[in-house]
Amino acid sequence: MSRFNFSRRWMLRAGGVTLALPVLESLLPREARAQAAEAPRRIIFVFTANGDQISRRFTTKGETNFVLGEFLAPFEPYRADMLFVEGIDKYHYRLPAGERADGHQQGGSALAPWPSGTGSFPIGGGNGATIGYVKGPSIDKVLGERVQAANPSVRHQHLVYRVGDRSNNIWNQHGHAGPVGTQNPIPPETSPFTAYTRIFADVDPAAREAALRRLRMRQSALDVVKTELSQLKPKLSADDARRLEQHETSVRDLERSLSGMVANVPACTTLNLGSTLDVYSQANWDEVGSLFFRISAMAFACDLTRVVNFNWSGNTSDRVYAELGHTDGHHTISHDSSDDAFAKIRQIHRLLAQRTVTGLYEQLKALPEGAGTVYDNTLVVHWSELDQGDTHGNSNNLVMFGGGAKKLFRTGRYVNLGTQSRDSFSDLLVYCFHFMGFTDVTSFGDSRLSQGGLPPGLV
Amino acid sequence: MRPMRWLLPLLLIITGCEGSFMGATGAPLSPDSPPLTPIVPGQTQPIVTACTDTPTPGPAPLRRLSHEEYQNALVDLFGDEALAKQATTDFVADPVSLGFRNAARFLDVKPVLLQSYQAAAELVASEAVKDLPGLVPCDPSGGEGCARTFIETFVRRAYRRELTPEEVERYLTVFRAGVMGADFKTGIEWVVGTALQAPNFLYRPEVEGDLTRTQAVSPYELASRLSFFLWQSIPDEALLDAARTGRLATKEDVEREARRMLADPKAHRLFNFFEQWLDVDELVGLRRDATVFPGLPAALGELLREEAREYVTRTVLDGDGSLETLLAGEFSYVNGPLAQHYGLSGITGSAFQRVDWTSGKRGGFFMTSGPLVSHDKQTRTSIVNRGLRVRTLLLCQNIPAPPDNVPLNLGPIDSTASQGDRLAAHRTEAACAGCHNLLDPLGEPFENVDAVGRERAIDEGGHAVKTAGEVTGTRTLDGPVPDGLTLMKKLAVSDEVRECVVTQTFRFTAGREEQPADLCSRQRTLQAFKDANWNMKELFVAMTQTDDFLMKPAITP
Repeated sequence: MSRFNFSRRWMLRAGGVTLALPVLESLLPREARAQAAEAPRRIIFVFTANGDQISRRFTTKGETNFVLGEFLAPFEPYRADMLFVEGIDKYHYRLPAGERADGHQQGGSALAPWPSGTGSFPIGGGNGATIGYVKGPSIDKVLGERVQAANPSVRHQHLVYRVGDRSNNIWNQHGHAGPVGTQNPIPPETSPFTAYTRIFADVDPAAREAALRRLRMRQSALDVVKTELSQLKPKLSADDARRLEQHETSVRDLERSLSGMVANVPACTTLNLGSTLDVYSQANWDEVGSLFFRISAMAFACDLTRVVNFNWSGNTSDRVYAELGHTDGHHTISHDSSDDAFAKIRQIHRLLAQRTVTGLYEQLKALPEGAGTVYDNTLVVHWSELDQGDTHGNSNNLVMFGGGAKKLFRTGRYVNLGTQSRDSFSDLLVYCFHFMGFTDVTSFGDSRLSQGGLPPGLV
Repeated sequence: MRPMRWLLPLLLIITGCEGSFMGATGAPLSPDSPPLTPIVPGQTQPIVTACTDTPTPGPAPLRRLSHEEYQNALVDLFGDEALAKQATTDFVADPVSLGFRNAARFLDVKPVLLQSYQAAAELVASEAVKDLPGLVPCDPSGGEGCARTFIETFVRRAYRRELTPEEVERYLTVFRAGVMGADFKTGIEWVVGTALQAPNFLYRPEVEGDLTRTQAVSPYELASRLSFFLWQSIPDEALLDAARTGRLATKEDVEREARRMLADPKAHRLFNFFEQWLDVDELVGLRRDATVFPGLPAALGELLREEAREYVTRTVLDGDGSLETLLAGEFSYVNGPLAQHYGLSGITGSAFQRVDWTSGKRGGFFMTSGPLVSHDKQTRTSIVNRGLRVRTLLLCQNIPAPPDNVPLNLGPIDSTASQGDRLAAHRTEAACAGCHNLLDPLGEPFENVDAVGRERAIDEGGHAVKTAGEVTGTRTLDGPVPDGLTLMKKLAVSDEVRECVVTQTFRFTAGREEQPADLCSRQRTLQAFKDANWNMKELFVAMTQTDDFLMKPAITP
């Protein structure tokens, strides 16, 4: 049996016992030992594909007496903690042809509100040319950099997860590394089993000796890697050198993670993920999503990261929701304007909402932290690439803030920005910086996508 | 604010249907927007230029090994296919660009991949040292001397060049650290584990010579260019030897090696190019609705992928190599389960063997099932997606972006009509006609092949299949076609498709989009392809004879 499989199985067997973390005291950063009085802020972006049905989001739209439509109803128990914002415009049409992909592509890049480049896809470009990935970082990447700069003990800047799809293309990658001006998509992790092993490795005390042996070997190998990178870099073009700098950054991140586990709350434990399964099978999407949520929640509790970019699918997802009796895929249905098709769209969104509530909200609430739970300190941001699929529309988007939203927003409310001039999606993202404590941020993304100020009436 | 929503068709797929009727400002249209202008696909420029004797290689970005190349390199280093596959199975897929997963600018090492490389290296190293005598070409009792010999052979293979004394010393340091508190075997394990994570293994640096000027690629760098192109892997000893002894210095040397390599079974790995080009790689995990398609063989997607692999391997690499055969041969290769699926009798067992299509309406790589069905729907074919692939993958044309917030009033369309008739109805609407005129008539000729690859006369809805289509928006090919085979025969001998094949091969070989600087290289490739009567293997050889392959431009730091 291979070492890799051995360690994974071994960890799974060890998991679920709710052991306290085997923290190597001497390796713990000072901040963790000091048991910071205030719990860290976290953020998780939750993506669902293909837009929804605008007219059926709410049956009543009063600020506080709003009534959730059938596909948002699973959030009803959490409404006091949530802020529902619609009428948000992504303003992609301001970008000239050649810098703007179609609604799915550009709308699906809304966490990275930058113009698109060229040279990667034959569909959706301007003037008969190709189109490319967006040329700038996504908010999860930027937030992660800032978090880590301010808190060096946080191992991972951000985690990018997607349920389903093996291949990575312009439609299904929502994380981007930047820098501004550079196409640099971040391939998401698609296997919760690999993702778990990657960031929770070496947690168990019995694995410690082997880990320490590997630690020496790993450091020795990384020393060679660093030496070669530094020797190669000066001989390369600026673009190539940038890629090697990414490699160097990855090495630094890994070295940081080799320096030991940090546990800031007693709730941080290992997880038992159960048996492995085919993560690309449509029959398993629900379970895969649930596992990624559990890993995300526990990674927050363990302060392994404070930023997660979670995706129920890529945009344009054509997953067939057989459990709902559907035979056509989600995207195919979303292009049909019939009542029957919209009924199916509502079913899909309701199902995903339910899965998010049970998979994420309840998991976060189950993790004690201070006088409350991790939920109280985690902003959940729900979004989609389109407002509604059948028109490829992007001017009346719905964004929902949940979890610990009340630490920034006035929650329990419905707000329609449609009558406001300051209704830009990219401006709305600025609030995510503020929630995370980066109140110096006043704008994010390309200025053409901005309305020049934060949407009013939210905080 | 968004305009009111209008009724929409069932069949908009990916591109939407409305194409290029943006207002001048690019703002969303209102329902009473002006009439539409005809839509034209993005034409690739003809590969025509005036070549001079001054070499003009295009950019040569640093290449990181693709996951396929990394896996093949493990196979060639250790001879264990299962281990190589296991080590790489969890690698996150690299971003696709122009259909390929080897685009240099997107292949870097982000944190997730760094850890995957680490895990793979540690796994392979620990497994490899279990057979120490098979791995190390000397007696371990020789201690450090033996370790040096191992480093000078194994790491040299991995780095595809001679090591500098400094590098040998660096690896000896790794070896000693591994030995400390353990044994010789552990030292070797550390050496192997380090080499498989080393930038000089993971990347293909081309940093020899005076980097401030355009110059010939060095012999060792050329060896890597050849082997990663034709074998999707590291060079063999013979190729490294040729580089070391000055026998990889001329165009003729390169041609000789290219021909030798194409005759080697490792050249079958070039299927990697063909399957990424026509999306056959996306067949894995293919699913279909069990009510519409009952009783499908297990792992149908994998079977269809193998069919495509056999077709390419036997026509291009082991067969006559002609583009015409590749695109329009009236046969395929099936094994027992696939024959049963296709309703062909007399073929059993797991080995693939040739069968002739007899309908007169089917033939060629695109009409092996894989490229056709890889973007079909769960319950039916997708005429639009099939036509889109002909347009973009075989003709190398681009389809424009549909604008956001487009109102479409199509009126009721008879839902009992066939897919083709419903699409035809949509095309009477100006809003849809723009894009769909470019796509549907190129997809309809394949309607005699269903969404699981079987020939048929009646479609999913019970309608008699119609295969008439039309080529539009091309330089020279416009006109009606009665069926898919006729279309393929027409495309297979057309200049546009031949140029597109050169372009696709170039993109895969160079790991980037074509540039004006390499136009002359592509033109000479095209000419050589023509001179060889459009033989694909000769195209691959020709690709190695260009300035772009043999030279590298000055580095701009």
